[in-house]
Amino acid sequence: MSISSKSINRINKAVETQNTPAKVALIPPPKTSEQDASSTEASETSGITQKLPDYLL
Amino acid sequence: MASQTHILCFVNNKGGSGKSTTCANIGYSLSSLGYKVLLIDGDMQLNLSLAYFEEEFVLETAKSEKNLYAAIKYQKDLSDYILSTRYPNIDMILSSTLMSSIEYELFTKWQREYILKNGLKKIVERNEYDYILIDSPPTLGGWVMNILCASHYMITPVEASPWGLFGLANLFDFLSDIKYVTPDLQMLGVCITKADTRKNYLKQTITALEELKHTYVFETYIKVDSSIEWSQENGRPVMDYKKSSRSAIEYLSLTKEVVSRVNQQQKH
Repeated sequence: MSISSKSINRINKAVETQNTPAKVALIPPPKTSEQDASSTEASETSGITQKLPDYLL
Repeated sequence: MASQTHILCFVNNKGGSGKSTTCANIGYSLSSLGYKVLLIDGDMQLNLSLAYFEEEFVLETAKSEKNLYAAIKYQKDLSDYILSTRYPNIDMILSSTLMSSIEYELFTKWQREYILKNGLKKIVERNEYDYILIDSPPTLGGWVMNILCASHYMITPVEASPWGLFGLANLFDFLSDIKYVTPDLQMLGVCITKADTRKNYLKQTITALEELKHTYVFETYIKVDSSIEWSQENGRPVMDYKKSSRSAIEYLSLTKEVVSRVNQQQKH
């Protein structure tokens, strides 16, 4: 494969990586006994959503 | 007064790809289409400055405190560094040879990636310009990060050669690595420059670039034309030096594509 073709492949790969949604870390708050009893869905939506740069993940 | 200021930068870490020439001539073409333009020479080679001013004035300004280096070093509002060119719709902030040491100046500064962006803030708020065009040096350091962080769109001129494409791939790898610092920057497109239609390799380059999946390649490409060198010799954009030249016509066509692309992106 030529340098040109390899370069084009690298560019496509780099752009695809850029277009990938940012990684999201879900940091749930400490559960109380009441929350433990509530539904799983409720506990997930109450978590803090924070975007972290790739190097921190 | 402009409705919104669009900030475009011309970036490629490979030297000699036509960044300054493209920046200078798109700037002039934009003004010929009725837009008000601010050019910022971010390269220590002073080539964008030379495209609009006499050599003596460029060198004198480079040694003074009225250039981009001083503005960045002292973290000033860039409004105070704007100079008028001989063209009514085009202003410029000139560079300095000291830009070669700007990395050292940036190193100790807080939020060093955003010093240029902060310096442009008041200019952008005043909506005085339709377009701000920033020329960059052939590097990928902290200063180019500043340019990328200050810009809405990026245009990459690329020479039709294997090493030109290799350099382009390196640039995209870099952009991928820094995406979290410049999340709003959009790649407006890749522009082929110095295209020599006598060489078969040009066709190979165009064919290769057609394989790009998510990156726009401008339909207009800039062919080799001695009018460009003559215009540089005379310190003028090629459209002013020789309006009928092939490169002047091509740069005007490229500029119209740029405007169209920017307008499209605005709608999204």
